[in-house]
Amino acid sequence: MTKRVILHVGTPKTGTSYVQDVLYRNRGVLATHGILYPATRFDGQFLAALDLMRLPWGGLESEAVGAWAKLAEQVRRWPGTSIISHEVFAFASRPSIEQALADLGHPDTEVHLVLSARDLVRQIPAEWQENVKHRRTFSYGRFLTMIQDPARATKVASWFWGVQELPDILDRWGGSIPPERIHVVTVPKPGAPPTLLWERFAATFGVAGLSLDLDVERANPSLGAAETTLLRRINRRINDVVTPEHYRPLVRELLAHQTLSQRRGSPRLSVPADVHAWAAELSSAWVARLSERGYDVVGDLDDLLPDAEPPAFFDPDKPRERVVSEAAVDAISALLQENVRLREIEAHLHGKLQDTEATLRRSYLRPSYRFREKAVARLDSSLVGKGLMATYRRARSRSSRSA
Amino acid sequence: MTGEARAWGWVAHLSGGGTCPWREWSGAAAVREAPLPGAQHLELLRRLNAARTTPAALVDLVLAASPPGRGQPQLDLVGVSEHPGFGAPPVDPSQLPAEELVRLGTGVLAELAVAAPLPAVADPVRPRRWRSTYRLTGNPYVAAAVRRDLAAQGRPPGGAPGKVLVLLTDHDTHLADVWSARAGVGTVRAWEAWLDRLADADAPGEVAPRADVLARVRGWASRVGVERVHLVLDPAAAGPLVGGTTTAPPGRLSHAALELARHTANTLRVSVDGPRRDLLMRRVVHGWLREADRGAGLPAPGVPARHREWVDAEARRLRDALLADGYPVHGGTLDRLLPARGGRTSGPGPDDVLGVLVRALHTAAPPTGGTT
Repeated sequence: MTKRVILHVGTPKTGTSYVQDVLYRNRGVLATHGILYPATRFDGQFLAALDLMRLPWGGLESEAVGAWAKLAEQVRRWPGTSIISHEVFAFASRPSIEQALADLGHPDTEVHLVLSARDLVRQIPAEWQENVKHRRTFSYGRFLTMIQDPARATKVASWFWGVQELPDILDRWGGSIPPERIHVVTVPKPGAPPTLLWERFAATFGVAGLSLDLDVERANPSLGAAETTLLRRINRRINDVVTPEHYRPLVRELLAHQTLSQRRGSPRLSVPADVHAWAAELSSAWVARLSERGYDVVGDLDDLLPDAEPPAFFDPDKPRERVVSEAAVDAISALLQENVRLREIEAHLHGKLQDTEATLRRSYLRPSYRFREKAVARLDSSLVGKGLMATYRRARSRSSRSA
Repeated sequence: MTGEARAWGWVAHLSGGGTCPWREWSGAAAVREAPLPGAQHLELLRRLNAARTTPAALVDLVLAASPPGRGQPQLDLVGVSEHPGFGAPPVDPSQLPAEELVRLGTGVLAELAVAAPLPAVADPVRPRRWRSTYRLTGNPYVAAAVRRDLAAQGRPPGGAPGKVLVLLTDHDTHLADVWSARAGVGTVRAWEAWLDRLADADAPGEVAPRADVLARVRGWASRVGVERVHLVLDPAAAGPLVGGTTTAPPGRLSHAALELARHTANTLRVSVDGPRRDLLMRRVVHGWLREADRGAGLPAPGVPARHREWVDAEARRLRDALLADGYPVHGGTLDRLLPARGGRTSGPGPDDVLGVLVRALHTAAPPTGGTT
């Protein structure tokens, strides 16, 4: 069996959540075919990426301590193929990349680098939306200005280009890997068969012939323009009072993913015509660069070129307020339903607590307990009594230890 | 001479302790196979060299460091090669914002902290058999110093609270010390943002329980009675109340050092678990920061002008409420709670934080070896 590591390093918004959930849920089946997906929780590889890159992430990083070393050790011990996948790896610095590859056994182990890519015109609004889903409050217009600044001076811009600039990511990660072991998986254009992207991933990961459960729940669905605007307004109001551990389940999961992303009919996010032209020019340059490099392209590099005509643009900074209001009503409804669910749980737990208290009271009513309680109170009220109690407690704790 | 040869020449110059800025550099060296270090790495090394001779181990650590968290990627030096049209634009390293150098440097400082042995702690003094039982509260910095003094005399706090000693300082200092106690281990936002939240809160205890002195004092009074809650305005007055002696606490860390502590602790969050992080911060990093602060004349956190009125009003409200409650007072009058006028109000600049970082790295670096 050839020892091989398949390292999928991004990019975000290319179906990565779906892919990772399929791999995680099917890790038992994969293992029977000699393929390791090392993770004991669905976000295990995300934590490993945070650890490797020393990347704070709203408090989650404290759960990541040692996660990379553990993952790398599992991979080194596994005799067959191992798959590692997380999109934040795309941001890794050269020193982190050198460490990662060395920890995974490179160059003695056959390392394959996978980068999934989607056209920039679809990635730009998707990245702004991700920022909003991570508590950011800047407008879309401000975001576009930041990412178009040639100096890339802001953290937003440096992150955007760090995880989206395909030639740079491949240069950083692929410097010591032969081009035939670098696989660029392109996200098909809208209208393509819904299974096509998974088929491309499956072929790249070497799992195409396996019978895997593809019916997974975890995905990172997108929001409409008005829904994203609503979320941004919510962030402005609650960022100071809702901590990250509550924001994740209540705002990102319940509101964004489970409620607002389910709304249909509101305009989708896109880019204005001038940004479209700029992104199209950039994409052409990237595609030219990638085609020179001799990488294994799974799909078609033309998938990365935006359509010639810019899509209809609905400015999320000047939304139709009626649509935002409708989305807000849906959000309130979802929060009320969640509140009802939590109140029912609270009532159930309250009932259980009352039962426990009643049981405890009954035990206190036994005559022997009341006698002991009185004796201790009397002893504690005098100096001699305190000394006796201290001796008794010391003796008792010694006998507990020896037991 | 190629741009690359010039760049490798500069790497060798800096690795040997040089301080010449990139734009003035004209030497050359053989081009190596390895990628060039980033502009941030080289500029931080230059700043270290400008402060003192940089040990070889620290040179290696800086050049190999990965900047933690979000920020600029590893940047190329301007003038080395033609920009390929993608990737961040190359830079003149002397123009880099200090924040980027601090980001890289805190990663190095955190690595040094993780590798450092924990200093030994003296065995605790055996508590005296017959001693006053008491509890300490109030200003966390002063209370910690008083606790240390009394514990060293065999009189640690604890037991049934015969007395409660509330260590008080002027309200500016109290707020700064409450923030500093948390900033020192990294679990708080920046000073001014923290004050903003405190000012907006309905009650200060919602943001930081220790900031709400009155609630703490009254909480103890309801448990032990007003007459057993002693307000202490001079740390030296605390010891005699429980049969010991106490002195004023040592000098505080500067605001710049505390900012650096906050960044370093946040970096350590990803490297070690919480209890170890707190230990490393308190017993290793604070020592380096104290050394880096020595003689620099950097100020402690000060209340900014926009919060002046609010803090003054809080101080007066606290003084009046404590006076009305009638607690025993030691070491001065409650007027000492009112902030002194003319305090410093501006936060540390990025260059101040970078200065502390450079000195702290030199303190923390392994002492063996000279420059390569």
